[in-house]
Amino acid sequence: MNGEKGRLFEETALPCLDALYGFGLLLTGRPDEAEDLVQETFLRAYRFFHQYEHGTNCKAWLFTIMKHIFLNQSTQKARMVLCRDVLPDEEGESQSLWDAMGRSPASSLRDEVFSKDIEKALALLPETFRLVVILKDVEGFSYGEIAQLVDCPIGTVMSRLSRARDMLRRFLRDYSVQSSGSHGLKPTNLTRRLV
Amino acid sequence: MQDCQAMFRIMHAYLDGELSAKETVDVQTHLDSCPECAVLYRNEKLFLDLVKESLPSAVAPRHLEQKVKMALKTSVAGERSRKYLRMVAVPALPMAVLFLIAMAVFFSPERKPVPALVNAAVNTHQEYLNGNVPLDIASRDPVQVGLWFEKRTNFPVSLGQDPVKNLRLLGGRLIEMEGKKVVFLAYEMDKHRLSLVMTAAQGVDLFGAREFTVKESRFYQSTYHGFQTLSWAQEGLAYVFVSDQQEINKKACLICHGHGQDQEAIKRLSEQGI
Repeated sequence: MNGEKGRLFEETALPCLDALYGFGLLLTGRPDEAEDLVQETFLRAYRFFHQYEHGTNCKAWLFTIMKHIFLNQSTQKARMVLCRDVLPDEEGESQSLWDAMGRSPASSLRDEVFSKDIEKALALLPETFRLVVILKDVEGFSYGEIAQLVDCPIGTVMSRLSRARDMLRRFLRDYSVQSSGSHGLKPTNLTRRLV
Repeated sequence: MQDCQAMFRIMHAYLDGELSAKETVDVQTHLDSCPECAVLYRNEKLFLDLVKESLPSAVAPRHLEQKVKMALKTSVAGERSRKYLRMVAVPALPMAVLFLIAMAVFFSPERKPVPALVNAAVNTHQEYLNGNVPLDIASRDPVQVGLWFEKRTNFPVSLGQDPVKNLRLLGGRLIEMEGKKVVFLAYEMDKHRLSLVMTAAQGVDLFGAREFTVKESRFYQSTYHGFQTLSWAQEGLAYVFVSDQQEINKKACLICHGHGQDQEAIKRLSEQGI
């Protein structure tokens, strides 16, 4: 890869490699498939680099390309992860969240919960919910960008995000209540509470 | 803002910095005056900060960057050699053209060419029905779909707010045809899938097996790959309507007459992109 285009591409796009790999992992759930997806994304991005508007969010552009490749490769799996079909009750607000708030002071959580536990709690979330949390809280995308990436209306992104954060809070609260030792999260108990 | 629940509904949007300046001021005013919400807000902020700092960023395997760079190099080299091959292949082109003309004359004299836009419309319609191409934007909201395309096309895409009865927008996809941006809109009517394709009319050829004129607009109707197509150009835009139904004109008329006055209806139809 030589020349001005190659240099610019390396400077602009390649720093997003880790984030893209993370997104690939979320979409496919498999490290080998995520690697292939990353490679294919960069190849396509390089081919269409003239269409990229410099100064705009390159990470969002690359994520969009990855999503399209993923959709074309596996429509079946994409239906599970992205929201091609919005469930009717998803647009509503989460009343339980209102009830849950205020009863779990974060300061007490902070002493008992460690980042490993949050990772574990995150792994217990349904895929669609985990996706919005990571796109927002790790990758820092705006609601609008997330809506485009997961093919949802912004309202659905907001309600999913709220619900996902609510679930995380519950997982962690249950954990801090039940674990006085080093038992770690118990997926079966916790997921049952979700239903 | 009077209502604490209303405050609560937008608290995450506030924490995520997604509110307008006015909404932000409203929230701040409410938080200053309501100690209960202020406590909720502080707890939620602590919780989200904790989540944000604890969530791990993904780290790609160390070999991946090298692998990607190699793949890019190979692909760039491949592109160059393909260009070379094209140069070699040029002298063979006249022969190929002669051969194709001979084939056309001897074997399928009745077959007429298909306008590129109609071809693109039918192919995309078919691929979409088969689930091979997804919609870039899946939404029933004409405004949202219109706005999505507005940023991506060099022509206006205004979709009507009050679509014809039974006609539901499913979403759209941006396709390319000979370097032109083409809007593909998917609709559903009485459980049948319809598609409408539109692009800037300049340089687009339209023709068909049947022609007719309605209120000074020339319409072309054809059957292609088992689908009915109706194409026309109006006010600088070219349209192709694709349907699996036999009576596409009747359908189109139905849509037109559903709106009352013909002239007005046709104008509105083109505005709505139907």
